Amino acid sequence: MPGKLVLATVMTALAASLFVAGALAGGSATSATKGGTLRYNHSLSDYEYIDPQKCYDTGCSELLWPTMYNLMQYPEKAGPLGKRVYPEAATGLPVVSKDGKTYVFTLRAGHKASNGKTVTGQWFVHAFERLLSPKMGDAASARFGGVSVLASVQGAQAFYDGKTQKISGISTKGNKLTIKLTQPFPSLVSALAMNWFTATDPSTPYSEQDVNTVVGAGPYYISSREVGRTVVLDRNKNYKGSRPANPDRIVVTVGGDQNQSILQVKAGQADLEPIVPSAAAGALADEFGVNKSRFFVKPTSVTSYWALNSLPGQPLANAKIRQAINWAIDRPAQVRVSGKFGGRRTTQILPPAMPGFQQANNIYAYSGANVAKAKAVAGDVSNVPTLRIVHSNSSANINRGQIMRFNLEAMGLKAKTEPIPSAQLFTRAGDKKNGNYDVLAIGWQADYPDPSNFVNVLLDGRNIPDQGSSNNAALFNSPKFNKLMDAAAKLSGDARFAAYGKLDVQIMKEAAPWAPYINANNRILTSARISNLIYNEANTDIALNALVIK
Amino acid sequence: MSTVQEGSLPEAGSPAAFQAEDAVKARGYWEQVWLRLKRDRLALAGGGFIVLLFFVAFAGAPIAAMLLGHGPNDQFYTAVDPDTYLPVGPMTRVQTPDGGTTLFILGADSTIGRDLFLRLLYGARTSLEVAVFATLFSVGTGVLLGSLAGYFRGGIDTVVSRLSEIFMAFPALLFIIAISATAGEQLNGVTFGGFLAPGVFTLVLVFSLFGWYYPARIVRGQVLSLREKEFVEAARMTGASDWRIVRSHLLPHLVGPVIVYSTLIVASLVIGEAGLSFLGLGIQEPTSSWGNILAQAPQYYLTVPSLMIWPGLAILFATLAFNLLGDGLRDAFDPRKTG
Repeated sequence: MPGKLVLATVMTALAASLFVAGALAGGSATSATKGGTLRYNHSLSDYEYIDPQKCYDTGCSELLWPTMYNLMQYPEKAGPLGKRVYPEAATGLPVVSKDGKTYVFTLRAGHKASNGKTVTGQWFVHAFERLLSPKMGDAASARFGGVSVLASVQGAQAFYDGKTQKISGISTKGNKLTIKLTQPFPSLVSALAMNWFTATDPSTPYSEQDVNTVVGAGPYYISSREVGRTVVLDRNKNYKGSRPANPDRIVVTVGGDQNQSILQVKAGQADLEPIVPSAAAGALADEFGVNKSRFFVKPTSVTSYWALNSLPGQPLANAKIRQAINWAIDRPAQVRVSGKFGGRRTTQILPPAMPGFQQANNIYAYSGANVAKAKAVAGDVSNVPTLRIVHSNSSANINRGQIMRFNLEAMGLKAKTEPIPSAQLFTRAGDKKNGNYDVLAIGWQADYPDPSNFVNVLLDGRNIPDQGSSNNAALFNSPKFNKLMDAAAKLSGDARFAAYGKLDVQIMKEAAPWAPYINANNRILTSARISNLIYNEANTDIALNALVIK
Repeated sequence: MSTVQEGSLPEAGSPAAFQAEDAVKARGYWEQVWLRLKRDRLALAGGGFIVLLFFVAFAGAPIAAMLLGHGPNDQFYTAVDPDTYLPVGPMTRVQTPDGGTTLFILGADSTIGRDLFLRLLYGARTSLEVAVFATLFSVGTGVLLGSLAGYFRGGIDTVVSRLSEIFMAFPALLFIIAISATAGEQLNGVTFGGFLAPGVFTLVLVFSLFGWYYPARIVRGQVLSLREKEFVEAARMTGASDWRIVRSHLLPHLVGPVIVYSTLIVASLVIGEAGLSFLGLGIQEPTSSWGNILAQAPQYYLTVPSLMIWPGLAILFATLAFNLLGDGLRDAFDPRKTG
């Protein structure tokens, strides 16, 4: 007995010491992953907007992601796992009515934002209201067709037009939030993960101006901003959720030179440059390898394309000429402009990262005989007037414009280029009356991973307004394809994705309203002290809150 | 041969005086200018470089294109390194679509794969066209208006002076941006049947519009002074018309300062053209200019710095040459400079 007692005592002591050692080791591991200040360079220019309801580009959405607390959210995970939307502010997936028009979310109780207030259903209602309110000036919804995304919400249009004070289709009672739609919108759950729909303090005023601080119900909040210089994110001490919150603080320096930023990151004076300049990519890959330690190449859900003005009466109204242009353009050259690891060549509308994408290798495959093929498809083009190629005045797009012009002239067309500022490009794109272009360089990144966000948003001819710009830069309006888009939009699950995948290829083969050329990559450089870079392919953002400072 | 010693000047009319007049060779104004200029080696070097530059730009560029077998706007995708996606370096033989090869002496200009050497030569042509024509128009206008204002004074002087002040106060860069955004495309198309490169007319117009007032003010000041001189008074007494006085008696006195000013302004216009083209407001692609070649370079300044160096050197040497010549001419036209 005493021997057993001694043995038991020794074993107990050993187990206890191991437990303590394990606990201590665990503790030290935790402290090693948390803390420090992340120095993030957002080069070239300042954010256009950091207001969640105004932000509509990848730069600001990446900045806002750590502050966001949405009904549905994408996890800070890479690869396919990152594309699975999960309920964040909701306790589970919504209860959807049989007709697919009513969504009821149950909200988590007691979640507090950075300002100490408890998040309620009204926070989400306010996000919708700010997004659609005419008092917000050129809010993202107004500028980029957000209303069309939300058109299926009951009362959205009336509220947007200023006819009502409330959006009739959104209501909250207790811990329930109800969204009523005028028609089924199968991708609503994915769409709700956008920054537009993040929980927004109801006391946040409507304003045409941008904000300098953002109350965060996510792991971080924006504590300060000096326009043109810095944005600072601090950890939300009230956050009790499961999302990572590793750095104590994230300091974003905006508006620097990209090349200088690369030198800073290499020297450890900054931690992250998310947009490596195209000319530097090759050397960085040689130095650090790709996706190994410090230089990362990640796919985006962007398709860059030449929109071919398909409006009846225009020089490219004839689908044959549009197809010929697709044969004529030297896509490898267009891709090379983006530099090493700039992206993958494409002839399709949907990017590979998009659910439903079907690789079709034989559409406008590039070979040495493309000009001859283009001439054969187009026939006599001597009567086609000089084509107006419009593109932004960035160095890369000027080069792409020159390549396009060279290619068009090689197939017998006459062409001239017009570089314009990006802001002008967006106001001219998809404008029936004042667009004044035949070929326009533009690109699209999906708001959420659903193919309708590409095909219907960009090519449904019924979305082209009589006046003003639109997302349909090709001014493509085909009753046949409009019907097919309607049919695909009504489907859900795999059938939906299959229909869109097929439609993508069919549109490009038969109508060719675009000449797509690249699905761009993100090229990212980190300093030596950074680890745990998680790149989410659904929103194509780096999870800044997950980065670990060694 | 006799000489005249300082401090022992012969009396006028004496035999010694006649001997002295024989010894001092009479030199004309232009001869004296040339003699003074000849002594300034830097100015001569500048002048020589300018002559060479004109030859290279207007005769050398087409000859080089013919010898190399491709033009400045031809795109060779084989002129982009397939491993690095960067433009190929100097003295690279690039494959042509027909299976042959062609030499890129200074390498490619960008990922488009155009010949940097040829684009520099053709760019020199564009830059010189802009600089020279803009100088001619701005200085011509300035001399005309300045002469009229200085000679006639009164109302004409007031109008010209106020006009020049208005133009001086006008935000030229904003005007250029506005012109570029609105009428740029139409103006760029004015080439006088291919005599000028596309875009040259726009820049000449803009530079002339905002370049006339300085020469006008210089000339006005000179004419205001000259018109009170005895020789003008004498001309007026003999019944010479105003036009004749200005043309035959005043303008010859203005040639010196005008030439000096013109030489210096050409240098600043070379830089002006490069600056505007660099900003995307001047010469548009695919027409080559030193400014738009330089505009491609910043993205490669860490990887292919030579893309910045070649057009930079071209601009540097051209402006330096014009400035050296201008400085030399200024000294040469100044009779107080005895060298």
